[in-house]
Amino acid sequence: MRLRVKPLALLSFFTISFILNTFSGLSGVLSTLLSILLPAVLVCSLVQLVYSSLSFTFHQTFSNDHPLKGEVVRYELHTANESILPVAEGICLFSAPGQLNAFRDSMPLSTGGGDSQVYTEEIRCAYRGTYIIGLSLYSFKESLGIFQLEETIERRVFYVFPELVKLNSNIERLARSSGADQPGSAASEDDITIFEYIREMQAGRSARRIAWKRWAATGIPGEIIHGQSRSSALTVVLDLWPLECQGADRLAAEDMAVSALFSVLQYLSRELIPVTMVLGGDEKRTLIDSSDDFTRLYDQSTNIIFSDTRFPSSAFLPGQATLLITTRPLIGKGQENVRANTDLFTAFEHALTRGCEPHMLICPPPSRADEERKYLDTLIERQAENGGKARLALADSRRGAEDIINALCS
Amino acid sequence: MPFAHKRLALILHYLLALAFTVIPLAVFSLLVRAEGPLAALYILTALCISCIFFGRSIKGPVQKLCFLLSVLLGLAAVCIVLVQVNVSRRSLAEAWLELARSGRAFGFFSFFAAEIYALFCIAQGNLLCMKKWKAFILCALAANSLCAGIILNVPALLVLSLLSAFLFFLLSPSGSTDILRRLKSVSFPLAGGILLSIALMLLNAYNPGAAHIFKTPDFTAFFIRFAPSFPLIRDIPGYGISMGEGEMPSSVTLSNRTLFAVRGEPYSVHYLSATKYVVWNGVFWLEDTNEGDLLPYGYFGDEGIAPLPGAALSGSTLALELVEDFYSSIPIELNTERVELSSDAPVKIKATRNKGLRFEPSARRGLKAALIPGAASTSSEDASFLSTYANPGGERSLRISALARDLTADGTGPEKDRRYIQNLLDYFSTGYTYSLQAGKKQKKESAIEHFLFTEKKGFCLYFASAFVLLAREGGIPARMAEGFRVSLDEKGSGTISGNNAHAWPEVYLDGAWRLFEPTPAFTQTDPFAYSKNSDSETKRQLEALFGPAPAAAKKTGALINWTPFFALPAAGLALFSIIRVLLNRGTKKLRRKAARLVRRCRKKGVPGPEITGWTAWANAACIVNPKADVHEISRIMIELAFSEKPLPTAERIRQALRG
Repeated sequence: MRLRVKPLALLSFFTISFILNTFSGLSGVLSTLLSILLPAVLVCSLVQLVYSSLSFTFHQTFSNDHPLKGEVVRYELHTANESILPVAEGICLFSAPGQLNAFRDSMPLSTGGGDSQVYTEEIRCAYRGTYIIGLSLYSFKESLGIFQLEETIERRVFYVFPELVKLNSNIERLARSSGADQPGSAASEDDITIFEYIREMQAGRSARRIAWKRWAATGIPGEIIHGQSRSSALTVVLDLWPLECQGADRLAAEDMAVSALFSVLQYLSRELIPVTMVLGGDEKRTLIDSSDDFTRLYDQSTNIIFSDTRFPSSAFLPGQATLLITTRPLIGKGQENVRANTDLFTAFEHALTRGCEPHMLICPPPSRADEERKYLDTLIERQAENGGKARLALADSRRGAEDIINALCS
Repeated sequence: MPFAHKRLALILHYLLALAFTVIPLAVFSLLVRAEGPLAALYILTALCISCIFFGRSIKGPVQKLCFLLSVLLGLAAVCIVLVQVNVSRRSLAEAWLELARSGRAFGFFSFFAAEIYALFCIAQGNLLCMKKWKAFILCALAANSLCAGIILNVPALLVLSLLSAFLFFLLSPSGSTDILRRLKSVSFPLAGGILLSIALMLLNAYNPGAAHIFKTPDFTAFFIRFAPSFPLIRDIPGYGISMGEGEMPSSVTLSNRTLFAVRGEPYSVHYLSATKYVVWNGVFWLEDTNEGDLLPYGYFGDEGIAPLPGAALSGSTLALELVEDFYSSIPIELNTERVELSSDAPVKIKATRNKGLRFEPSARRGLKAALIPGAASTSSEDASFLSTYANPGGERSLRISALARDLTADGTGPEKDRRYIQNLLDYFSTGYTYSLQAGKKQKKESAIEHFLFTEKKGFCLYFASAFVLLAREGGIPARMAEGFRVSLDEKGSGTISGNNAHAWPEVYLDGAWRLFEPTPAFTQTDPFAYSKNSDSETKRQLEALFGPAPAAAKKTGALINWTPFFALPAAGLALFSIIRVLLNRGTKKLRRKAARLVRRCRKKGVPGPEITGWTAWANAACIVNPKADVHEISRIMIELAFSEKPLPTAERIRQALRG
C-alpha cells in the first residue's frame, strides 16, 4: 500500500485550520466548533481511509489463459466492501489492453457498507502482440482529498502469437530456384573442408577418410571426422518499415507479414531446410535449421516491432535465394518517399538488371491493397520483360492469413 | 469557435476572475478602514490571480513561468499571513473585533484582517480561473459568511458558512460527480468530526483558561527580534508579550511600538498603572477585584489639552495622547484626582482609582487625556479591608518568612514600618541582577522563592512581587501595580512604549498608598550596573529608556550583525530548492525508474543507453524485459534530454510511471 499526499491540498488544509484556530472563541461557541471541526473531520477521514482499504476485497477472472489470435478474453472483476460502514471514495484502474479495444479504463467503487460490484469486459485479441488485461491499481481517497491510499496490482499479460498457416511443398521452390544447395540433402552433409577430430579407425569404414600421416607417425590407423556443412537454402528478410497509417489498418498488414515470415520458417525448419532470417535493415542474420530454433524465435515474435525505416538492402545481395516480406509501399509517395531511402519498385528494377532480384511478398494495409496490386502487376510485367524468375506476390489481409498460401505456394 | 472569439472569451474570463478577487477585497478594506500598504496588497492579489489564470489558460513557455510564479507568490502569501496570524495577539484581536462590531474598526489590524480576507479571495478566484462556477459560489459564500460571522458575531452566518463548506466538499471538484455516492462517503467523517469536536469542546469546558483547544507553536519571541515594533505583537497591556501564562512569566519580550505620547513637567518621572494585584495564590497574582472609588472625569474640546475648559493645566498635570491605533484603557497615577478627555473618547467609560479608565469598545488613535493630580491620597481604610492586603497568601513560604524576620527593623509603630521598607529597598539594591529572562524555576519552589534564593535575577515583576510578599510578611499592607514608568525629557515630553512597561509595589503607609521602587536598574545612577553585558534584550530595553550604555557605546562600531550573512544564503537556497523541485516535478521519479530499468537490463546483458543511445537500448531492453514499458520511458527520456518544447506532459509521465 502506498500513501500519496497532495501537497497543495495539505497546505490549504493547514492554512485554513490555522486561521480557524485563531478564530476560536472570538465569536461564541460556533467559532470554537469551527476551529476544531476541520482537524476532527480529517482524523475521522483518515480512520475511514484505513478501514476502507482493509475492508476492500476483490477477485478477477479471465475466460482464457492462452488466447490465440482472434480470440476473445472475457474479464470479470468482483469487488466487495466487507465493512458495514460506508467507505471512502475509491476507484479501480484497468490496464489498457490495446488501442483497438473499447473498454472502461476505470470503475468508481461503491461507497455503501457491504456493497459489491462486478465489472465485466470482453477483450478481443484481434492482432499479434502483448495484451495487458485486468486491474492495475485500486485507490481510496479520503474525504478532504488530501491523502490517498493506493495498491498496485500485478497485471496479467497475455502474449498473442502470430497465426501460422500450413504451407505446402511449393514453398521449397523459392529456395531451389535460386540455384543454391539442394534443400534437404545439402543441409546436413559432411563437409570435407571442415575438420573436427580424429578417431580410431573402425572396421567397415571407408578408407577415404584414413588419417595417413597419423598412421605413419603412430602406427595406429585413424579416421578423420569431418564437420557438417550448414549452409542456408533461403534467406527470409522481414522489412520492419513503420507504416504511416495507424490502428487496424497497420496492425493487419504487420500481422500478415509476421505470419508469412513464421509460416515459411516453420515449414522449412520442419523439413530441415536451413533458413536465415534478417530483420529490417539489420546486418545480423539468424540461422534456423531445426524446430527448436524456430520455437525459440516464435516465442519472441511478439517483440518484433515495425519501427525500422532502413531499407532492407540485405534482400538485394547477389548469390543467395532471398524472400523479402514487406509492408512497405512499392512506390512511396510524399512523406513516405522522404522517409524511405530507396523506393522498393526502383530497387527491384535495379536488381532485375543485375540478376539478383529477390522473391517478394507484399503485405500492404487493407486500405492500400488494391493500389499495391496494380503496382505489383506493373512490376511483374517489367520482370517478364527482363526474364526474371523471382516470385512476386501480394498477401491481402482482407482475405485472412490463408492468402499467404495463395501468394507463396500457388 | 473562431480565434478572435476565443481570445475575447479568454479576456472576459480573466477580467471576471480579477474582478471577483480584487473588488471584494477592496470593499472589505474600505469597510474595515484598513491602514497599511493597501496598494501592495491589491497588486499582489491581482498578480497572484493573474499568474494562476495564465498558468492554466495559455500554452507555451509563458504558462510555465506563470505557473511557477503563481506557486511562489501563493506560498509567499500563505507564509506571510500565517506568520502574522501566529504572532498576532489575541487581546488585540478581541479589542479590534469590539471596534469592528461597533462599526469603528480601522488601523493596521484592519489591514491584517484584509490580508486574511485576500487569501480567501485568491482561493475563490482560483476556482473561477478553473471555471468551477458552483464551487466558486459555495467557496465565496463559505468564506464571506465566515468572515462576516466572526466580525459581526452573528451565529447564523457561521452556520451558513458551515453549510456552504459542507456543500463545497460534497460537490468538490476532485471528488465524484455522483452526489449520493459522495454523500455516503463523507457521512462518516463528517458525523464523526462533529461528534469529536463536540467531545473536545466539552473536555475543554473544564479548562476555562485555555483559549484554543489546539495549541500551536508561538514564534513571537523569534519574530520580535527582527521586528520589535511590529504592531500585531503588542499585547493589550501594551508592553509586548510574556511567556508562561497561567503562572509568573519566566521572560518578557518588549515591543518598541509607541503607545502613548506624554507631556508633563520636565525631568519628571511618572508611574501610570492600569492594574492592581492583591491576591498571591502561591503561583501567580490575581487581579484586584476591588476597583476602588470612582474617578471623576470630564471632556474638553478638540482644540487640545491646554487650556483645559474649567481647569487650567497645572505644571504637574500629565497629558497623554494615544498614538497606537486603538487601546482599551488609560493608565493613571496614584495621585490622579481627575481625568479630562477629548470628545472622541468612547461613550462607555469606567473610571476607577484602582484600574484607571477602561473603554468599551477601545479608544481610537488620537484620544487625548489629562491626568490632573490631587494631594497625596490619605485615606483611612478599615482594618478588615487592609487585612486582605497584609495577607501573604497561598502556602506561606518558610524561607520568605525567615528572610522577612532577618530584615525586620527594631522599634514600634509607623517608624518601624518605615525602617523595614527601607531595609527591603536596601536588600534588593545589592546582589540582584536585572534581566528580562528570569530563568526557569524548579518544581518544588515558587517563582518568587526561586528569584529570591536561587536565581537572584529577574525583571520588575519579580522585584515588585518579592517586595510585596516581604512587606506583607512584615505585617504591612501592600499590593502590586502594573503599568508604565515614564521619565520626561527637558522639554517635558516622552513616549510610552513596551519598553516602559513596569511593575512596582504600593504600600499602605502612614494612612495612604505609596509606591516604592525596588527594581535596582530604575533607582540607581547607572542602570546598566545591574544587568549583564551579554544580556542583549535587557540592554536593549535599558538603552531605549536611559540612552546608550557607556561600554556599549564604544563597541557599537565593532558590532556586526551576522544575521543577514546567514539568512540571505539560506533564503536563496530555499528558493532555489523550491524552483528545482517545481521544475523537476514528476520527472525525478521517472528518471529513477529509468535508471532502475537500465540496471536491471544491464544485468541481463543489455548495454546501457550511455553506450547505445535510448532508442537502441529500448529495442534491446524490450526483448529481455517485455513487461516494462521501455519504449514509452525511453521516448520520454529522449524528450527530456533533447527536445525543445513541449516537454512531456505530467499525465504522460504519470502513465509511464504506472506502466
